[in-house]
Amino acid sequence: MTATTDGFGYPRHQIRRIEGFAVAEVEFRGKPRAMGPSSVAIGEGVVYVGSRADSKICVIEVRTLKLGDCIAFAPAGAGLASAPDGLIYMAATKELWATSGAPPVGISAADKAIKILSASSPTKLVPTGKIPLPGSAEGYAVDNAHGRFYTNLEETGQTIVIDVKNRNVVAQWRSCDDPSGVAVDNRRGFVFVACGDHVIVLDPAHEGKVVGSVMAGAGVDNIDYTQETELLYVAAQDAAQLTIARVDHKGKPLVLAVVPTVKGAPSVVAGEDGRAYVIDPLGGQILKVEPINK
Amino acid sequence: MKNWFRLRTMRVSLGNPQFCAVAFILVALAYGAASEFTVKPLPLPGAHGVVMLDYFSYDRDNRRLWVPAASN
Repeated sequence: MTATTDGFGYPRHQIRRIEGFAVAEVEFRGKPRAMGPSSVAIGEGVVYVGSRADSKICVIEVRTLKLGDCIAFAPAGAGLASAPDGLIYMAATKELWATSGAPPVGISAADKAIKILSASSPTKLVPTGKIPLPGSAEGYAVDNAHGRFYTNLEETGQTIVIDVKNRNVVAQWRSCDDPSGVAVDNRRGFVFVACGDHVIVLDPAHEGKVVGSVMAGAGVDNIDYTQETELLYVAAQDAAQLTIARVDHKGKPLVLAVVPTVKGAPSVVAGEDGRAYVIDPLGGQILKVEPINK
Repeated sequence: MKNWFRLRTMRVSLGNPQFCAVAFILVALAYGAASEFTVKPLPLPGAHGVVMLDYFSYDRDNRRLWVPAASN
């Protein structure tokens, strides 16, 4: 079934729905599931959206909220293993880096690599190469201050570090079995890796040594961190909670709050003024979590 | 050292009133911290039931949350 589209942008509390994306249906665990826009990266005056329905990456102009050009990331018939998974914009090099596969439905990447597209002209993406990886990438974060990109390798339970400018893998650390989300403290360099029911803190200054850890409940996926407040946000879908922890100068997280959410809410992004947003796929909604004094 | 040992004993002894008091305070503090946050649902327009959501992102420059989504 092909439905209408579904990419959404929220200017504050006004919700705008941006139309024009393909949606395809696949069977997952015996039930039909819609596949469509599934990843987003914030560029310069534009937003890049990856779609698993047709393996395209599309550009949306931030000012007009209009859908612009789309380019083929992989042939449409190549399947979900070749479709775009995570997207991240590298401001230092004006590039869009992309992983592939569909981890939410258990499909690993067909090509174990990071694909790179030039965004020198923000509205015209041009493929320029790829970085081969020794495993399937899962989760990502960029440290723009130090020019480092971090991702996890599913198969080996490692976190790897890539130099953004020369595209070389410069370090490879054992993190945990089944690592998922990654976040980074651009100022102090700490790297946070989600490990099922907890998050560990790695210190790049000491060869990726684990310097801290915080329990967050079962079912953690993508995590986030804000260096302005030094707060780490961890949502857990099985535990139905959001853990908010302050990270001290040694990299040790101290839990400030455990906020009840809902079952099936696995990922969080941090906003401003202490706000955070948690996805709730089962409820078809976003949960906005904010301090009461805001 | 002896006091430290007592403290450890207290931590693992569920029948100990001191342990219960400490546990109660910790739980109260935890609930107190949670109650300092509100959780507001923002329904996605056009969503009916389960929606495929994966990566999403906050644009600090424009104060916008971008949520790619797909539904049947």
